[in-house]
Amino acid sequence: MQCEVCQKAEATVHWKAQEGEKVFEWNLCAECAQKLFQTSGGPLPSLMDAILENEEQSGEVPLKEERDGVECPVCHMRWRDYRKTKRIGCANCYEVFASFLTNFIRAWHKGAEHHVGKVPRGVAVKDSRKREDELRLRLREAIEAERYEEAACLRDALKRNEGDFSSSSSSSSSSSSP
Amino acid sequence: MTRRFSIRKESFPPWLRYRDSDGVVLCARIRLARNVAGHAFPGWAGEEETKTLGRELEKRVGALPVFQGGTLYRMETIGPVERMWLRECQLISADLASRGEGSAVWISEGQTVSVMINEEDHLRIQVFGPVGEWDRLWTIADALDTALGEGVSYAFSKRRGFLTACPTNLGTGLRASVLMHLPGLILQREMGPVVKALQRLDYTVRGFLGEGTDMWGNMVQVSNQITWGRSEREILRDFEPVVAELVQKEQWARDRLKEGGAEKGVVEDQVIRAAAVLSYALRLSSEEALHHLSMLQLAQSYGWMKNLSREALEGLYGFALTGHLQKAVGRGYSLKDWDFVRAFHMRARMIELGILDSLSQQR
Repeated sequence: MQCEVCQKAEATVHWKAQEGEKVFEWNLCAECAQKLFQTSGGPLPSLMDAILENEEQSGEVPLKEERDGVECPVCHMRWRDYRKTKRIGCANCYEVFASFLTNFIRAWHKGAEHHVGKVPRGVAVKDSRKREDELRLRLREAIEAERYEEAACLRDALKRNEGDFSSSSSSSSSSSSP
Repeated sequence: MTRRFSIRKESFPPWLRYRDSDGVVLCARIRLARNVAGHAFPGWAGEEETKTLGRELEKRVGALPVFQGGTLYRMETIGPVERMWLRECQLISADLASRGEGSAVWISEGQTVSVMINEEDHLRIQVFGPVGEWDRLWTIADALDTALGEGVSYAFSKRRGFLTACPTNLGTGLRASVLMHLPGLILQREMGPVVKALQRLDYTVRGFLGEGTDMWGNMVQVSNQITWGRSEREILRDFEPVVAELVQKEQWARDRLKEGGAEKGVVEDQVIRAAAVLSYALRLSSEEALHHLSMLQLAQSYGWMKNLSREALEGLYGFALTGHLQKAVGRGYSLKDWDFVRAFHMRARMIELGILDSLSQQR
């Protein structure tokens, strides 16, 4: 079975966490498991706590006390407030809290890396993303219609296109880390 | 003593009119979550900001052609009955129902579209319809969203998509949901594994009015969890076969129930009991009434309900829902008296329709 997060390596670890009513159960490869969740035993941790605790241990995020004091300069929500309300204060909070939220968001949305779909008028989208959106749809249609040769070509095209995209998106995400 | 009144068609729960012929999928809905750039999200905004932005959004939403002849409900001006009724209609969320000044909802004339203002997010666009028309529902939601987006600038990031108060909604901000009536699976005690399987596929299962109404009237709401990293059309296309499979499972469960196996006659017994309680009980809670109506709807799908038209059944559901009943009766009773009022109207209507008699004659 493939790892459900990176969708590349073989899954070797079974992992559980809870968010709201939903229990998350995953089959992960060793690398993703270590990266995302090291906690085990006791009651199910909340997905976000589990991720942050692990990131804390590996030094990717500051300690809890320090995190709690981080404040959005636009709406003045602190991370502590977010933990209480479970609702983000404003659009800018997503930038300020980016490094605390990224892996949670990625895990909830099953390893997604970037937005696919509708874009409001006036927002320029990189051609590669528009193209990816279209390629993904065509790929699915080809698979459903069992046109495998076409599907293989589309998958290759998608891979090349993804290469273009991920290099640009990873640079933008690292620049937003504090 | 309470007096009879005729329930008007407008006071039937709107979602029932979209139901498929067997009453398995009652209603489909698409919801888009949007926020306005440069403003704090409603849960964190100050009172003034909420009011000012709320008023502006009311105007913008009300100017959309779809709301010509529609109704604006401001949360600060409506009482608990109206809130409960809107909630039961699925036109507003529990979250909006708990809010005050600055929060509002626009509802189109035919109740097919509603836009909530200052809910958890600044805007929540909802479109309702029968299942199997996702393309049409999406086209409507998309057009409304585009039209609104011309006047305001949405909170959006190229990487994360539309930004929402809860990170579990960001990206497309799209939640597709179906309200399903699953007496077969629930009576056969097969719902546990079905819920687990749905969760594994990243779908949420809730009661028909959210938390605390688990499986009331054998109704559940199923919706997608993943909103980021997949396009709107992909989300809808993924959902379609999931719903189709659920419908098929429910049909199988209903077939098995009908055959009965070792326990022959169990489902007939339940249907007759349901009709008897609805025809004779002196007190009926909403939950109990919904359960018995579910049995009648199941019997209708078996073809046992010659005297019960689609429309008549919708009227009975109107009695079962407390907000609907209160709105129709229009007079104040204390909360515990509504069970008595409900039973009074239910009895009269059931006897008028001759449902119990016709069922027993078929035996």
